[in-house]
Amino acid sequence: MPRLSCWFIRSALVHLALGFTLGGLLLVQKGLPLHLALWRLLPAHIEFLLFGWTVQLVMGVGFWIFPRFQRSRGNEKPAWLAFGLLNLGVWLAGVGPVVGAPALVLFAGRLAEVGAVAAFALHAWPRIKPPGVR
Amino acid sequence: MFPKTSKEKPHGSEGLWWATFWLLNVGLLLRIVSEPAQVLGSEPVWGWLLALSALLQWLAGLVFVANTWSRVKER
Repeated sequence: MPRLSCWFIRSALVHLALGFTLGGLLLVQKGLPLHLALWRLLPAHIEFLLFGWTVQLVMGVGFWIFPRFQRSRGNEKPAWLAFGLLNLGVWLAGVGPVVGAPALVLFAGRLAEVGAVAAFALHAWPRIKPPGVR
Repeated sequence: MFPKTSKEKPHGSEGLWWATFWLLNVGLLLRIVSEPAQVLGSEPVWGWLLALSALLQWLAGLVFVANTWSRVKER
């Protein structure tokens, strides 16, 4: 497994654990109401599991297993950029609303996530090819 | 498809994989029953069962992460 995939997948696992923890708290809140403020965790729970876990796992595995050029994975810089932007975006868009940050923070987070997708697509596009094609 | 933990234990702890499976599925089944029952009824037991389902699913997630972590490694 390449180094960047390790980073993507380990970060995805961290977000899975965090997302499950927040989801567990919310479910307990449904059954045994503890404090109404717990519902503020919902955006972070969704963000961590949808983008932090699922999208990040897909990117990590995709970077690892997509067809290569001989032994090279092509230009890896956009993929590293995608990793940074995705994690930045997940925290801005997920934690921003929880701590009452201005809407601009949420917008910046979404922008970072879109940037991450674009950067990853830039990296992966040439690797989507039939076997043998250089 | 993840790299093997070791030659002796390629998938990590089999026991932890089984624990993940049972914790997640029992937790989900408990939720399927207790969540609507809590909305429809007023007995506090459904709330406690929903909280128990949350605990089981949370543990499943943590055990999965712990067991997968050692398999995420460079060659």
